[in-house]
Amino acid sequence: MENHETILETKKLNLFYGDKQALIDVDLSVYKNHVTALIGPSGCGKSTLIRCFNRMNDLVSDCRIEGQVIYHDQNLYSPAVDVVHMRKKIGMVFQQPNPFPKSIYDNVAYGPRVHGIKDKKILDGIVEKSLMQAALWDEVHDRLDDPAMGLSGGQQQRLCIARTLAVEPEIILMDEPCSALDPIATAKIESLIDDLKKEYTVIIVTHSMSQASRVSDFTGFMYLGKMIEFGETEKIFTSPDEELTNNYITGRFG
Amino acid sequence: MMNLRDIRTHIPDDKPGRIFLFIALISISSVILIFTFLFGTASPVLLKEGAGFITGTEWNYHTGEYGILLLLIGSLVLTAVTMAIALPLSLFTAIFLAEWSPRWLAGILRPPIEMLVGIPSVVYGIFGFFILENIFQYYVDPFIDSTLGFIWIFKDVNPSSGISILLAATVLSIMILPTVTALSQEALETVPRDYRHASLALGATKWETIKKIILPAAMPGIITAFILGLMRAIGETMAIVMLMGNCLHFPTSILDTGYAMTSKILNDIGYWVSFDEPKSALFAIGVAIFVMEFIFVALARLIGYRFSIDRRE
Ligand SMILES: Nc1ncnc2c1ncn2[C@@H]1O[C@H](COP(=O)(O)OP(=O)(O)OP(=O)(O)O)[C@@H](O)[C@H]1O
Ligand SMILES: [Mg+2]
Repeated sequence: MENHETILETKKLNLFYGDKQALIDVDLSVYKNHVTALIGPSGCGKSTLIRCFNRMNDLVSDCRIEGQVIYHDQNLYSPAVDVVHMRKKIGMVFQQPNPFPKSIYDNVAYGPRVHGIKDKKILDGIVEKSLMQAALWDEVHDRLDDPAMGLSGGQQQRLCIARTLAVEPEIILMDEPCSALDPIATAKIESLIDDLKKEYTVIIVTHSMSQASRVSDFTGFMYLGKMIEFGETEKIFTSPDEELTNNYITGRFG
Repeated sequence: MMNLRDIRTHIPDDKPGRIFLFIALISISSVILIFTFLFGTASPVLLKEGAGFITGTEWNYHTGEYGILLLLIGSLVLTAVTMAIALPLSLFTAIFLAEWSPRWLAGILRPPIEMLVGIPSVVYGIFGFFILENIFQYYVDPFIDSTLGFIWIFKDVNPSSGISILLAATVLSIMILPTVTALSQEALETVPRDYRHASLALGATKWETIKKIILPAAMPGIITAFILGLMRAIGETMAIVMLMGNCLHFPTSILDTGYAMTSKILNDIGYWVSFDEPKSALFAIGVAIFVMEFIFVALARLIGYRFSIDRRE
């Protein structure tokens, strides 16, 4: 692991929803241009953790955070951080496909437009490139003005990925991006993730252990708010150090 | 064409279904009854006057001339001024309540706002007449005149009184504000959170998210709120009779007096209802109000349709 460049790192991260502690002393390093998977039983804090990386937890009113999330030598939770700018660099794809009720084109162009790009030619280029990267271009290039809601679930999710790519983030967070999709759409997204890591760093939460082992380079296993074990995916799935991890991946609980 | 057999297939065959059908028929037929009555009573004068009913400026029961142009203008100007005051106010209040105000503040503000709905309009009229009228005469009207008076529509044409279209419109705005605000707020709050999260996660600011995603997505609901406010503004009578001066002339300024269609009906119906033609004429004004509401609602829907996102859905 030594020669991997760390892009994102949590240090003693504790998170509370009101009185309830959802993350306990989480230490995690995310390596650049690799895919990191977070696995663990339902309610163990995977979504909570991934939402710390782009501060979406800020939207939860009684959520309190201690510890640090270091991104480019800066604590994301320090007051000096411009959250809006940071979210441009750390994009997110949600569990449920959530395209805006706009056209396919306007969905992808939304981010760039918000960040000040007005030139139609440049936008056209971004839209095409992003849809290509998201492996959706071939299916929609002749109907970019159609409503995004008319796409299938899998297409909508790839559109959401394209929309995230359009703002050229460094890191892409994905919270169970395939849970609402059928196996074929899932396979498409998985192969997409594989392509994405050439240019991006991906963190993915998944319930599917086979998915984690297929797409990720590193895996973190979480249990009851703690990061139980983190390491190379192959090692986690073949010879984990922890008993708990072993029980989970062999399906004995969770 | 539907024949009797087709209709019969729509009658539910279970007991609850039939009961509900029967009740629905009662309310539907009452609406039909009102329309028939309204149009029936109004038709003699409408037929006699023809287009002159709209274009005529003379209203005289003795000579039998019935033209509503000045009343129509009175109502239109009043409605326009009311909407110009009430729409931005209630929309911005709704946006604040839905997006920025902390939960407890929205919780405190909402009940009094909703209570305003229950106050009878005559109370608003009295409030306007005894309290606002003075304030308008001595402070508001002179202020508007001195700042914007060089534009003719803001000229204080009768400085000796506070009674004016603006006064009526202000009170009317206060009246419709609660409804429009509460409904708009609801429309904003029912926009799926997913949209908001998606937009914020793309690095949009809160305001950009509101402007570009939430407002357009809430637009159909906001339009409905506006339409309800608009209907109330057009149909309101009591407060207007007390505040707008009821002087049948062409208003030259929003600080001028005017005469609204509803006021005319209220003022004259008591005496003239026992005469056939005047009664028909007054009901014809009712028809005009109805048509005006219909056109406004259609316009509002059309505008809302243009503003809301994803028209194809
Ligand atoms: N907004 C919230 N307010 C209060 N508690 C919350 C909130 N969101 C999550 N929690 C709690 O925090 C814990 C972790 O939740 P989280 O959603 O992170 O789990 P998860 O690992 O993503 O589960 P799943 O696999 O089911 O998505 C849970 O016990 C949950 O009840
Ligand atoms: Mg989750």
